[in-house]
Amino acid sequence: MINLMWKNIIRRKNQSLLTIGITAITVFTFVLIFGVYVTTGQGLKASTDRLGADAIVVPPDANLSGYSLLFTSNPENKYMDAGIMDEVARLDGVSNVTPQFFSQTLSGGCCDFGREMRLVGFDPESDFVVKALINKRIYDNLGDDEIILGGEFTDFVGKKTRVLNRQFNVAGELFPTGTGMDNTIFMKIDMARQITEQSDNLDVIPAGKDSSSLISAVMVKLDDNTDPAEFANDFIFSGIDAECIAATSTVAALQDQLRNTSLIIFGLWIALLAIAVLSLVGRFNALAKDRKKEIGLMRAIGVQKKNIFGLILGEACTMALIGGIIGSIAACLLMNPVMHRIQETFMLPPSVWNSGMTAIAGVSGLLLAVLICLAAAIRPAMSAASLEPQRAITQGEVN
Amino acid sequence: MSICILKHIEKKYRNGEEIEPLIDIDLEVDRGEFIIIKGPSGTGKSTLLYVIGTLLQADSGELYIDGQNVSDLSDTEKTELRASKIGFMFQDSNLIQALTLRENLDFTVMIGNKIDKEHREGAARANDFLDKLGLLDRANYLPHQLSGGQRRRAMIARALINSPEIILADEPTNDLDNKWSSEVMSILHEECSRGAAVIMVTHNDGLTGEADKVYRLSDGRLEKVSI
Repeated sequence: MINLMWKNIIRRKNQSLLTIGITAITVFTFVLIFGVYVTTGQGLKASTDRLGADAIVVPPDANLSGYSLLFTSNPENKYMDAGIMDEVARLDGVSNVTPQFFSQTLSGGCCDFGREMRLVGFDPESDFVVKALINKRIYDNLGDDEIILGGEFTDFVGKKTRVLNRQFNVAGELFPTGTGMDNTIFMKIDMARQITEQSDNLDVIPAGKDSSSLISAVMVKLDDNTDPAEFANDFIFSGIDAECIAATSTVAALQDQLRNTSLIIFGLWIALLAIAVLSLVGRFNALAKDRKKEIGLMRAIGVQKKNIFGLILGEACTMALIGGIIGSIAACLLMNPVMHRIQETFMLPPSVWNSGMTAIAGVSGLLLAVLICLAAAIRPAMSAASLEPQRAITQGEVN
Repeated sequence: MSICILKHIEKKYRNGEEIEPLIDIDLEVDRGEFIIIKGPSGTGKSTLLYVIGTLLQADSGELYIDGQNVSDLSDTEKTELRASKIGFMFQDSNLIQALTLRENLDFTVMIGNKIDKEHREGAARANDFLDKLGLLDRANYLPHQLSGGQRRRAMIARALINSPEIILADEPTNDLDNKWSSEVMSILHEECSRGAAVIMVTHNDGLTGEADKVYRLSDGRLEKVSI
């Protein structure tokens, strides 16, 4: 019977391809939506968990949104006086502050990594953001000629590299965060100011300003009982000439947005699923109908009802598995480009599609394919198996 | 010794009006006997074959195959009975479309072997039948690649391959020219010689001379015709 099942699939090519195609498309969309939703959600969660700072204070004219500050590698090159840090530190609810200095985003030719990245200076003494994310390090106190690389760079620790025509030792590496930090070179804040000022390629320090007193942002750690969103609201009335962005509420808003968008997409996918199941019911009904005479013949020569049932169901499940495998593989292959496009378009944090997720998505896709086909094929298989042989042979068509 | 006995078999259909194709049918067929049932089209000859072949349940009466009352059998047992004892030649050429001619024969042998492994020699007979019926060079063709006559002969090979004890032949010479009609009749006689009972339905009066007994089915009643 297995041989007959297989011959039915390969020798009725057009019918089989149609069934496999419907299943493949359904599974493809499921795996893609599932993958994008899960990985983007994980990226957002990772961002919240690893952000370090509860709020970020930036210059008033920086025109930065929470999105671009947290999740992209393109911060504005606007600066404020380092004295603001002390003013922020005195505000109620603040437990810690640390400055950061953003250089202009560096082009691929600026350094040995051959890709766009941003250069950030930080203060190792007061820092609580970078320190918490250290994955590997070979330093005790970060030196002037040492840098730390974001989570997208691996296996560079201990090597030398050039940044803006100056040689540095790679002394540390961060865990991936799902934020713009992953694509960042960190160095001591004074060194960042110095090489930015000295570089012919960068023209970001305002004329007449002494770069040694400039900072781009103050990263703020709040007390446990201070709400970041409330802090950011109250900051407006603090009299400090700067803008405050509550990092966690930005992420929460994004998560809400993602959840709502996902619900809409999920609803549309359910509609697609229903259409797929209905068309497969039609396919399998037609499959049983076209072969009514043949089924009658098989019953006449001694094939049992349960074998007819198994034959129809087996064919359906085999085609479902083939469609499921094709759909799952196609979706997994396209996952990264699609996710990249979605993240770029909607300014979502980057996230990683790894082999574990591929396996989960693939297996889920196959299970879905089999469930769809079982749901669609059981009734036609039962009606085919219960056909009265004489009626099947003489009438030839199913009502 | 009778292989097939029908006692007071009746069958009615409702197809707009009530049709009664089989009324009080009594028939006994011995092993090795060749029986022809004649009658005008639409009088129920095929219905009678379906009832004897356990593909259609009679409304009343008793059917015994090899001494066993078929009414007492479950669907599974009837299916096993068909696989082990009955060979069908249907009026329409009917083969499994996704299998080649040889695969169709192999499939039938496989089903027969499931029931009666020790007494089957179908695989060995396949080549003999294909040769006798002029199909050896068409063995690897799919049914749709065969002509009507070739499909008819293929169906005959399939019906006989498991050496059934009862052969139910519904107009087996349809689509065949004189040469192949004669060959088929000769093969059916060979089957009788090995002990199989042949019950053949035809409206071809020229074939009545082939039978041991001839019956006429008319107005639902079966009458023996003298030859």
